[in-house]
Amino acid sequence: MPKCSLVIDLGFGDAGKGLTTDFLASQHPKHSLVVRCSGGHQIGHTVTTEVLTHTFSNFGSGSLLGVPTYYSEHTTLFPPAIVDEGNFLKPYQPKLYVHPLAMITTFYDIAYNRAIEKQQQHGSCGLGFGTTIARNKDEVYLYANDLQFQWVLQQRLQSIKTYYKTKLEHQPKAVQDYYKNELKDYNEAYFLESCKSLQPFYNVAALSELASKFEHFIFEGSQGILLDTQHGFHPHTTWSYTTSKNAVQQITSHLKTISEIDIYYVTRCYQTRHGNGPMAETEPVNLQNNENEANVTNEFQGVFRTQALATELLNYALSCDAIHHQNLQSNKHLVITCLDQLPRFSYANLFQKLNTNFKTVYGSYGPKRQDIKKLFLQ
Amino acid sequence: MGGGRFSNDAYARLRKAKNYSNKSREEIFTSRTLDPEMDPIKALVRESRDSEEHPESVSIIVALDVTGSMGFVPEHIVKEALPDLIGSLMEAGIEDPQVLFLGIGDFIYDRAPLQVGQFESSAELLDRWLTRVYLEGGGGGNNQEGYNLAHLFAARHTSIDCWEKRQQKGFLFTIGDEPVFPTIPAEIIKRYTCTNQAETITTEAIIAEAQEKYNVFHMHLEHNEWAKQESRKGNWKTLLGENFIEIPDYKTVAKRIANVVIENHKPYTATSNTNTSSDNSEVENML
Repeated sequence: MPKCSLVIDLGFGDAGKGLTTDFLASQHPKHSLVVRCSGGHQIGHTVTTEVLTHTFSNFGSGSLLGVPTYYSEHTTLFPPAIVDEGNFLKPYQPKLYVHPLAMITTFYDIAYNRAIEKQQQHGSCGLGFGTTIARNKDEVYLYANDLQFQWVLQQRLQSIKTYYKTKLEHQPKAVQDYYKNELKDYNEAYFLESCKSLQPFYNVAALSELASKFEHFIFEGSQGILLDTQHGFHPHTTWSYTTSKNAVQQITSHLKTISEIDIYYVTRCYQTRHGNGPMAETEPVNLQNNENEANVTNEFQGVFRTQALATELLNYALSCDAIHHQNLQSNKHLVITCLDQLPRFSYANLFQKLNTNFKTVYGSYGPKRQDIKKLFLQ
Repeated sequence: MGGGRFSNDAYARLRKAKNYSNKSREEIFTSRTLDPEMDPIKALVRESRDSEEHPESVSIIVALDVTGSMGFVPEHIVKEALPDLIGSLMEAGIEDPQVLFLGIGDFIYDRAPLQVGQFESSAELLDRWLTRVYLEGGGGGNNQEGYNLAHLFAARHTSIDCWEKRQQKGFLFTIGDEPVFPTIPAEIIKRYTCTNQAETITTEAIIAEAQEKYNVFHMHLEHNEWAKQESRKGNWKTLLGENFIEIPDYKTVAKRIANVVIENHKPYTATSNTNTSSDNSEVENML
């Protein structure tokens, strides 16, 4: 019988969703599908194998195992990046299924995002994910389905250009200038070309069409519950539902034959935050063995922060997530990553303070799926 | 949260798209004189440094003969090979390649026998230097080129973290179709590098100096009957032994560079580096 696994981050992101997804996908790679049900091309999910360490943005974290990825209508895609990453991953033959209403990010969304982020500093990556969602909320659309029709695509791009032109009129001059500067060297023909050259990696399909083709649906969440549009802290939130809300909606409407649902809540054994916004008031940590940290300081997000894990925030995140699957039978699991980096961390102490009962608890002691162990309580 | 290197790179590329495949050589290489930013007289030292994004840089110098008979090689590299060179190095486990491009000419006849870029770790940025290079009109007709200026520049005007921090040698590739001058006269050193003091040095000696921090290779392109003759290969074999590489098909030159780096790059620590296990056939597929 088909089953579902949900990978949900309990913090501000960066917990180890890539690792967990790769671990779950490795159980039955031939019969698995990774479903991206939130976020978009701005994610950075790192998977490490013997031969390669790769940070996924446009493909699911099961791709190194040959597991295809499905992008739901809640996600965004940036075609030139799919082509780039797809070519890089060519030896692994990566494959995407995309819901026809998945939202497409354009150059204009990114330029506008960068222009306003420079003023606001909400913690955005500067890749236009939030502006794409905002534009769709304003009913100016560009969907995955449209990419197949060149004339339609051109008209859609024109409306998006006009949309931002109007929006910019109400923005300070600094924003207008930044936006214009970003657009200076832009070549629209190249964007159109990359939309065309997606073909080898890309199929438009609804999840219900794939329901009978796979036995294990792994929902790879994005970001973390503490950044969720409903449960995070304004204005430092993302424009998507990072709880199990979207996955639950997908399962109940498209995957009616599912017998078993397992939720894997992922956290590092310390608190992390990459991007602006409030951080837990816990003590500092001394990490070892973390040379492989994939988060580096970047222009738009700033520095990567770490602190001791805040149990209150874990309980908050778990309680938020529970709201979204009240009527669903599920097993809950906890995945604690990066245990090799903080030798003084006691998971026994942690469990005493958590209000949720977990069926299984896993711990990771290194970057590869082989470094994941089942932990037992003392 | 997130970051998306591939998405960022794609955005950068979209901003800088130049549509090379539809352009002629004259349209790509627009420089008609030496670009001031590539003037070696102003380049006291070019640095290849580790960064947070690229913590284990590997410095690679590609010094290309850009005189008349060879003009199609830079053209091919910009149009086709270059975007794959850095990608295939990364795919094969060299995660942080930094490539410096040098344009080489004849220091007796040419106006700009040495043109220097900067160490760059992305194809877009490297491309900036490649497309700025001034392609010399004709060869000197003296059956020799100033490839040894590349050895001189590498030895005395670069500072590379892979060697200084980790004792991993960088890589220096000269690429051409002619023998090398036997010496570099003192006046040439003074005229074309950032120094007022110099003595004439033999090619053997300057190669030995470059070999202190670089693995030094020369690639001889057999792109026509003339280039296949023994007299056009000079004494490269004596100078470099097995590091003299004959390339029958110039289109494979970027692939050979990637292969040579992959085969010769010594891992820094046994645990964190996987490049020794890389499969050459994978590189073949990438290029």
